[in-house]
Amino acid sequence: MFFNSFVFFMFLGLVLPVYFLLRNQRSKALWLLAASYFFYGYWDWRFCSLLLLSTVVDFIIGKKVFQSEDPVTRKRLLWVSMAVNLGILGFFKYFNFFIGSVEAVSASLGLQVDSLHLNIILPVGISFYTFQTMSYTIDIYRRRLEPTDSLIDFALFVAFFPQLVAGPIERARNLLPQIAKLGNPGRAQVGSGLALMANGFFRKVLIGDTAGRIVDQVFSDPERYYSPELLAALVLFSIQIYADFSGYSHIARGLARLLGVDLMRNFEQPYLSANITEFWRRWHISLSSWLRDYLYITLGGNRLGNGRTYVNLMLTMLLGGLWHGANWTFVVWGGLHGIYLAVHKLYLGDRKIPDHFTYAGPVSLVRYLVAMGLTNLLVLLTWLFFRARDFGQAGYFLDRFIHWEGSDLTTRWTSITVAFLVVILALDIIEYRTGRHDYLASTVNRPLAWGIGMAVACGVFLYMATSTPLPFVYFQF
Amino acid sequence: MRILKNLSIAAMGFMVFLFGLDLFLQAAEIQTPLETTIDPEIGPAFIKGKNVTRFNEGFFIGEVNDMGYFGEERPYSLEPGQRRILLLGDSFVMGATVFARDHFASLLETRMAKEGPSEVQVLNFGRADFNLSNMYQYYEDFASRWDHDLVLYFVGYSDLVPSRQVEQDLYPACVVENDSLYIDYSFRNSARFHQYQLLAPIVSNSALVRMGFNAKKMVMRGELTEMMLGKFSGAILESKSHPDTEKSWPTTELPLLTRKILEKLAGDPRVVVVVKGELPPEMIQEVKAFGFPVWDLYSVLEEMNRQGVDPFYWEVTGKRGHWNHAAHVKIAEFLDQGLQNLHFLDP
Repeated sequence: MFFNSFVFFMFLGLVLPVYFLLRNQRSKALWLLAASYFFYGYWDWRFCSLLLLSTVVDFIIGKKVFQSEDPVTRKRLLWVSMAVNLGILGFFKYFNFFIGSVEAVSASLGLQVDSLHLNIILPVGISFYTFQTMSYTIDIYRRRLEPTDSLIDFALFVAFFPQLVAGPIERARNLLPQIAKLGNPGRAQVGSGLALMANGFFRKVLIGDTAGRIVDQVFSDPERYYSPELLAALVLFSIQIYADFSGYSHIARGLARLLGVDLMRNFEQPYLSANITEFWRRWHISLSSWLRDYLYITLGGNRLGNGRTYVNLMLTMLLGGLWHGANWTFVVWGGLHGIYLAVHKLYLGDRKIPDHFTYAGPVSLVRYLVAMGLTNLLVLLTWLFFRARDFGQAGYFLDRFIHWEGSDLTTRWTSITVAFLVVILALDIIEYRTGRHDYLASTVNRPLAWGIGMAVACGVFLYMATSTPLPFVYFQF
Repeated sequence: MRILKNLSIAAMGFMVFLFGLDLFLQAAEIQTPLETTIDPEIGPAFIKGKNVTRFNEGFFIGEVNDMGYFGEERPYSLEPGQRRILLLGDSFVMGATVFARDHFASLLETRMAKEGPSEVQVLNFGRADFNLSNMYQYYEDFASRWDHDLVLYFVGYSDLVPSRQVEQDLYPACVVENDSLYIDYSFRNSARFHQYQLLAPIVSNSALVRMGFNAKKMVMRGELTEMMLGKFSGAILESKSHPDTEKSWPTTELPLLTRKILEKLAGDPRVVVVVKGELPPEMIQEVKAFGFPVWDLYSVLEEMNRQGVDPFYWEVTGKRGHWNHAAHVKIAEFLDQGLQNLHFLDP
């Protein structure tokens, strides 16, 4: 069930009133759990069994890890949890990819291998909830978290529908205590939730989906398009993926607030970053912090010398790339970001960088704008590998950028792209200036905020009614 | 008083935001406003110079030229050594699912430029929702202003046997009276047309209004249940639908109006009828009896489908609809062959 579908609003129209009417935490949690499984099973009810398996395994292992004092037993139990979670993920997401890669290598060595490809359907959001459950067990193993005694609460932590299929990847220490105290939201929380949803739906539906329609057309058949059109499509993809994913995260956070739950921030205006390190502090924060805490630090982080730090950084980014999808293009995407980060780290040395731009005269502004432009150019290049079907297609784009050939529609494509850019930047600047994603709720003039909110709803519903909804880009991951 | 004040502020915020949203929708071409209008002289007309972007089963970015049709702007008269073909038809011919450079009119021009000494211009006067009587009226009042050597009328069953009548109080309409055909322009004096003229500036300059029209069309097509209920609509819609496996034609005879128009067209040696959709055999014979060349495009597209290329399938959107890119290539090839058979390029 997509957030950007009318059937989701029907679902919400049933879930919310019942939730508000239920009196105690247990019945609220049970109701939300049932709703979450229904939400997930709407795609394919068979997917629910994987969710259940992952839940039961980590619930039991989490308790046993906590109870055990023997380091060897604890470690073994952790490995069992990892094996089950990564086994599910590996089989459903990467089996065909690895078989395909082995076949390709064998063929290049002149060896004949029978095809072992299986017809596997990738369950939506599998990468998100496996990472979330894994973090629970790892945190218990690291003695940073105590396991919950309630299977219902834990199952809801894994399956909580607002963030189940595309994050934010929540930590148990943030979400579980809130689930344990589920109650009705306050007035401010409702206002904030609705404002987040308005922001999210505007981004997802009116920017992400609309840019995505053009992107999908161009990337499906790039040979039909000229250089400026290909470049416009790439820029539009960078807008689409950001609007789509940040929109989803805002909606997820807004929905959670309507249920009285606060989820972590996932995006902080990444395209306003002045360098790549800052970009990664602001892009898909829940994943980058997960990779930092559970992969980079586990590998040794920066504690094992300079050389090892760079190796760890590259490994983290390469695996982060592979997490996104079973394709070598994602590995290259991660690899490019790894190189950027390593070069920037080398350049910085021990210097610390600020998280935000601080205005200190016109020269500082110009320097910031140039740095931001360059950072976005570097990021844009990586998006090509992220979106391209294969290296051949990415190469075709690059070739057309080098051997530039104009089109009689260049002006049109440029104005379309600029219009999208202006609006997404305007939204980001408002968020940046107010420091809030629910800025509409912070408007002093309440009636004005309601008027704007209603207009957003009208625009979004009108578009949804007249177009086929595009799935969230990150659903496939 | 306070409530009234709050309501006014909310309404103002609502209106101002919608206005800004409309500007964004237009600038980013998410939804371009209506490109059509009703002209007192020619009836249904395109608005000159209007940018048009369509996301239907295909994808189209183009514009109405300053002469009022899609494609390259061409003067009314022909230069020596130039030949010109006019295309008349419905949305299939209009082809707002592919870029102009991929439209069969453009592909045909390219093919013919390679073949003959003459420069051949192909002008596209296709219009969505047009049937034969609309085409005839459009040709008489508009397309015929351009010098031409050939007119191709693309027709299918619904063009020859239209399911609905022209709204005579809003558009010019072909009428048969006392056994003779004429075009009725009484719409120019109708109250509805005057109402339309008052509203036209809003209607043709707002993206949101157009989205509203599209939504209304969707509801009229009965797609609301599916949209609202998603997967669960299947059971409801299934119980309502009736299997319709046998092809049945409401009639196999040409209506009087269609016959009169064909009679009129038969007097023009420049007319070719291109059959683009399935017709009952009796009807094809009846059309052929008028004496103009009849080209069977439908069979060619059917053959294409049999060979595994569905001319109506769009991979990106997963929808079936108007002719896709492969079909446009095939149609250009087919028309080129037909023109060669007519010795069109012979001096």
